[in-house]
Amino acid sequence: MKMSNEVKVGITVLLAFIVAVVGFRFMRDVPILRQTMEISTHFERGDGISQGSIVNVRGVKVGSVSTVRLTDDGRVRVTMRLDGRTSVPENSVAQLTSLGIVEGKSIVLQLGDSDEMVEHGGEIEGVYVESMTELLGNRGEEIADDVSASLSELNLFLKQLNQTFDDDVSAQMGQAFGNAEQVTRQLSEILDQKKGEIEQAISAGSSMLSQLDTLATDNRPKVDNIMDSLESNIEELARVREEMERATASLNSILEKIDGGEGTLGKLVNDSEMYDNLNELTIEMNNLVRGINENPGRYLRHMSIIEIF
Amino acid sequence: MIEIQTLTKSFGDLLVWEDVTFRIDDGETVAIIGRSGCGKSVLLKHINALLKPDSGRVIIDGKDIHALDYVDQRRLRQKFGILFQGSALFDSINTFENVAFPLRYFTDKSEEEITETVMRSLSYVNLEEAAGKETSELSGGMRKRVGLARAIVLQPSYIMYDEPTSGLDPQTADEINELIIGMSETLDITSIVITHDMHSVLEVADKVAFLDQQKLSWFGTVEDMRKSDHRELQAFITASEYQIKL
Amino acid sequence: MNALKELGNYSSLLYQALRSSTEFSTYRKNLFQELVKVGYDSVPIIVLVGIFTGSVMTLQSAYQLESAFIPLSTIGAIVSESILIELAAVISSLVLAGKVGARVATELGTMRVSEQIDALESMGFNSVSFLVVPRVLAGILMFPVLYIVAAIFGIGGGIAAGYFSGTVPPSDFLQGARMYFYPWNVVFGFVKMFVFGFIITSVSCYKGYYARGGAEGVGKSTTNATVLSCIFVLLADFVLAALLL
Repeated sequence: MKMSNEVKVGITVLLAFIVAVVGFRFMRDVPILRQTMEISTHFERGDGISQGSIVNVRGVKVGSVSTVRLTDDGRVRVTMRLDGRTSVPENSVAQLTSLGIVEGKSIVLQLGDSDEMVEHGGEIEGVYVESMTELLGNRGEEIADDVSASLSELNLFLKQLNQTFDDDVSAQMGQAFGNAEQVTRQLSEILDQKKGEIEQAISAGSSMLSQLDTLATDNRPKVDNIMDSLESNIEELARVREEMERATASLNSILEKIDGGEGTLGKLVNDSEMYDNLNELTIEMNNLVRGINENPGRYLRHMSIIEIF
Repeated sequence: MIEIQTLTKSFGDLLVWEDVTFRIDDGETVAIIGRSGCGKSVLLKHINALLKPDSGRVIIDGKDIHALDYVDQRRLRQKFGILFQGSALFDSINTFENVAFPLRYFTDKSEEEITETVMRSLSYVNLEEAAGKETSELSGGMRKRVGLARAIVLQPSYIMYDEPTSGLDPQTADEINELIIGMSETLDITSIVITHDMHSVLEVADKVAFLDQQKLSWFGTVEDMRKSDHRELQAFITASEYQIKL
Repeated sequence: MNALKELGNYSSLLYQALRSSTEFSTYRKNLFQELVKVGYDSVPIIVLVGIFTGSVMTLQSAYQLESAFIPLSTIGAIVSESILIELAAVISSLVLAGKVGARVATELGTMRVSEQIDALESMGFNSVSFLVVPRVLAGILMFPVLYIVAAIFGIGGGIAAGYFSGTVPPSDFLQGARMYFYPWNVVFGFVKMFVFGFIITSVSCYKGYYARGGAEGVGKSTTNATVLSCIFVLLADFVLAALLL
């Protein structure tokens, strides 16, 4: 059949028009042929929903949002266009909730048990359900405060621990070491003092022996005299030795005391309990840090990290 | 009656011709001759205002066609039929439709009347049998004749031929010349023929306008032309006659 | 200087066309012929362009957005929005600049050099009204129609490509497409096509109507018509985006 140009143009334009209308309705999610039902609801806020957002009943899509607008009393009125076959009881609740963390919001109809069904143009109750992210956003501060408090307590404990070491033990230990040092120094001083005398004595002895050698023969009476002075020298030597013995004994007694667990230093050295305590603390802290590292979520579950990401 | 008065035309800096003045009386056949590129076709297109002159007037039946507005200009143009050099047939439609074309747009004739008028026009040029043919199937001579049939279909008072015999064999050219004579005699049409074919001029024309050296060099009757001692005109005629004898 | 002269000639041709657009009886028949040639005859190529644009867009978007955090519906949103707002109009127009623009320029150019336009004028026709007006009108009227075809087949092609390649299920595609469907985009697409239709047909008419220099001249003006049409379409696209978005 040969068509005239007018017919061809007519067909083209008509088909395009039909396709455009159908396509438009399709994109706006208006069922093309089926009957639709409009119901509306109010929410405190309308974050994340817009024209075309999905309306679900138990996870099954039954329609979409057709208008979202602000009412005079500051609430949000949402009109939904539902498949005509959906029956919504009067006491159903529309929840504005999110599909997932990144996906948009949708409306979920929690069907009630009433026998009365909502008519076309009717209205049901609406509840705005805070999403995970919003929850995190709102409670983030609180959680951050908690965490911060925990951390400061930990800090305080560590500081106290440090102080304990600083103030008592450290000072005592310093004292003990100071005492020991003093003793050693005194000992050294004594030896220094007596060193001259010893040397003198030895040299004197030496010169005396040589003199003795020469004088022995020709000065017998003088030898006796020398012998006397030698005796006195030896006595003096013995006294020095006694003094040294005493110093050693007192050093010994200090070391004994330390060994015996007397005084802080002694306790530190001898009492294993304290060491154990410290050791235990270190392990515990190690564990804590490792735990945080491995599973931050467990400790920072309520932190708003996800929001940051 | 067509009066051409002090017509001057140039394209940019290039002067085509200046101060061209002559008159074409009703019933006459005037040949415009001259060498190729001397502006014969340009002059033709000034007569029915397809081109606008720099100065001068073209008065057709008392009206200056260049002074009219577009609508009146077009109405006046319909007094002219033009046979274009390349016939200018519309190649999207067939022979019959080409001839019928002006009728469909400018007359209220019924389909029968149109058919009748078209066939009569085609019969003037002896081409009734070609009515159903596509224009691409026509030979050069046939195209000219169809063009002529189309030019006369609105029964114009004037008909202008732009090189009607160029590119045709002598026999066909003769046929066309006879047609031109026949048109002016049977239909009492005033004709303007552009050509450089002296044979054609001698056969069809009453008067001759010779364009040379960017002006109307000579204007007069065919008899006067033979006797004229105008040097360039004689040279032009001689060259053409030599060609004819050959 | 030359460009200004061309602009002047172009404008005066448009003015003439506008003035003679009232002579409906002159171009009525031609208008329907042109509506068929511009609209009806271009439908197959536009269907092809639409399908391929949509399917290529889908496959490439799916490839680029391959991430667990981006829902598949995003691809549908991107593809359908790009098609409605830009691709259906611009790619179709570039193709039509070749198809319609070249034909118009060649037709008018041939008529000019074979003196057919002079013949029309000498018969008392208003050649602008007879030749230019119906072509430009056909462009203005039919391009938006072709936009519908390109858009529908583009989105359809996108859905099909997503389904057959297994990258985007149709339901996800549609969900995204619907979520970001703004009627204004469609209006914008229509406006674009309206403008492009005018540009392509008017530029081609201008180039053809003032062609000269025999067959070679016609070839030259056809080439110019196509190239200029494409350039002006892209420029107009930019200007419209700047003005209307």
